[in-house]
Amino acid sequence: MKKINPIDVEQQLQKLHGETVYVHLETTTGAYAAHHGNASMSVCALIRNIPISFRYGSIQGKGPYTVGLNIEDGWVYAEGLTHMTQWPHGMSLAGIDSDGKLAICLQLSTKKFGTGEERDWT
Amino acid sequence: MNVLVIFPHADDETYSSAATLRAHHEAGDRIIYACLTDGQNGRNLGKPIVANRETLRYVRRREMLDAAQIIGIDEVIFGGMYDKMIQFMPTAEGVHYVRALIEAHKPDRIYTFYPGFAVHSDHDTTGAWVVEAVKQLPLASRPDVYMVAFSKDALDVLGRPHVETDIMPYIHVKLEAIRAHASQTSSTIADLEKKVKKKDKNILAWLARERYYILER
Repeated sequence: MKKINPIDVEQQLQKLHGETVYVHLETTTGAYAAHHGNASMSVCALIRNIPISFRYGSIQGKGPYTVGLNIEDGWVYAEGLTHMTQWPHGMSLAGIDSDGKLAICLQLSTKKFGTGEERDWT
Repeated sequence: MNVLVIFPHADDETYSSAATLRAHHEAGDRIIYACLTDGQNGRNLGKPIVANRETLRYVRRREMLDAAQIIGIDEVIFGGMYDKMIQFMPTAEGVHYVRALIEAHKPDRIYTFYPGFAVHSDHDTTGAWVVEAVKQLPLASRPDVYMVAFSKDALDVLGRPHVETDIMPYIHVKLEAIRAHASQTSSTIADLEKKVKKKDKNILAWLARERYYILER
């Protein structure tokens, strides 16, 4: 993954606009957050392979960045994004700290996740 | 002896049992590791970053094979289950999976987690499946089950572990195996090695903790 260039994200969003896009969205404190005493509890959420089509959306902020997408009946929102990988069919955006630990991830792709193809999605 | 190791993530075998398994290897035992999930939900993507969310599972499989070679694990079976989600799978399905492993590999001994004392839901679920699968077997054909417990209350509730490996003869194997799981350990390995060199008591105690409770027959 590389540091986010917001222009690249904007271009990807333009490409994905109007398409059926699969969403992977997660945030995580890590499963050991409570065990290691860094937090009173582990807090994680993950939703994967939800097809959406967004009416409009953009990247905001000066880094870490925030992406919001408006869908017909609601919103997709991810804050704290720092890194990205671009794919021909979408992108992976993540918020990664200085130790390489992922705290949030928003992925958008016209191809479903987890079919086995993603070995090459570097 | 046939040894079957059943943990949910690539690196569980290293942190909990690298030295113990190395000793089995040197004794001529055959070691199979059934690594149930792909570890695709791991937070660590490496330092420098070597994976994204989608490629992490492939990176971790490759690292697992390297670590297996270092430890002396003869074969790794990847279960391909989804990291963090196995607690939601039907218990019967998980138990069936473990029973099939036992039937295929005829272990004399199994290493797994102690259900309820293993901190991560995948660990507890794995241990529970193994215990249930073994209990379904006739007494005479049950393998010994060695269980890892590392929750904070484990010592208080379970008492002293039944078996403890002296890891010091194998500490370099263990460190090398930890290093092989690079996506998960590259941010901490240098610090860890430095502390080992300085004989930091806390780190050595943590690293040396290869202790097991044996399931009652």
